Amino acid sequence: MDVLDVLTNSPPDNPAWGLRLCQVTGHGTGTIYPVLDRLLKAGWIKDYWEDPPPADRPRRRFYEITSTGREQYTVALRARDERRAAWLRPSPQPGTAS
Amino acid sequence: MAPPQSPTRYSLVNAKFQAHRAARLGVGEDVKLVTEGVSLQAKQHITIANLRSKRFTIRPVAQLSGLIVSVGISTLIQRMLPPTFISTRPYSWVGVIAVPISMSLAMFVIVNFLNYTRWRAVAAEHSIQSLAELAAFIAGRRRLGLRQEWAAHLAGDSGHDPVSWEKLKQAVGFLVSAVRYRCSDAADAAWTPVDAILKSRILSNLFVLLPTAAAGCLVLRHEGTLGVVTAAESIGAIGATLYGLIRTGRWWRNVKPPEPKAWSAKE
Repeated sequence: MDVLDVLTNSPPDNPAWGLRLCQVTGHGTGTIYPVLDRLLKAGWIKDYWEDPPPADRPRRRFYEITSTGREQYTVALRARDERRAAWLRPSPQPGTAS
Repeated sequence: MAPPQSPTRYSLVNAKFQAHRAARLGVGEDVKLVTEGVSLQAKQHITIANLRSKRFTIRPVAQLSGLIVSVGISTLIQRMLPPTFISTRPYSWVGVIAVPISMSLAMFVIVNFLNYTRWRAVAAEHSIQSLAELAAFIAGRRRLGLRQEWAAHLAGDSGHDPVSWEKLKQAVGFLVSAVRYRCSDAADAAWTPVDAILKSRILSNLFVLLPTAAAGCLVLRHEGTLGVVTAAESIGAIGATLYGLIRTGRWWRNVKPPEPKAWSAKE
């Protein structure tokens, strides 16, 4: 969820990459990269390399959420909110139900 | 690179490292980065530390003492051995020379390693890079891009971030990622035949029917028809369990089999 939040809110001119995701979410590299791999496999995000490649440092790999991923993420968020609401909603007391 | 607020040990070590690295690689830009990145006090500390590391008093003394100690030990060993030991071994003089030389070499390596911060810093850089490369190697050929991606990650925001404990943690995280990639690959490979069964109606039916029919045949062969009637519940339980497994597997893996085909075009 954190990763998808960052990816959703990343502007196109400053796309998210591994280090930035680690910094913003506070998760380690051992968590972020497997999550990115799974999201890539699921087709929720897509990746592309920095172009043109810089001369003085290695190229970065940027990640971007796809339209499918955005839709699925919205659905998942809504489902989560509904689950939470159902969980927090007080159960009707016996005798009070109309 | 953001300049540190105070000349901490962190900035000192990394500034020294960058300076030595730049000197080693012959890169002027890094030196500039270092001078921009550390405060004046830090620079003074660096100069003092460099002067200390270049003193010619510690290393020769340590090496000479190492040589004397090693020669003494080898002489002691020779004395302790019986006289016949040396005379009966035609090449025993090799040991007499090899022991002090190897010991002084070891002393040389240890002294240099302990004395030179530069060596430690270079070793730290190589260790972190090696860890990242090892992680990329473990991750496999299917993920060749990870080598460059992780190198960019270690280079940091500026592209020239100095070595720090944080980087070491990140490199260890890469190793964890690589292992998790491999576990995920192995799990995918293990699920492939299961998914094939779950996706296909024919294979799912065979998975349920074959063991059930085999159990029925076994009972029929050994117990006869009456046995089959008696064990009908157990045989049915086998079929029901397998069918339950298929349904649970489809739910768990989120697999939907294709709709059954109509028996004829009219239907």
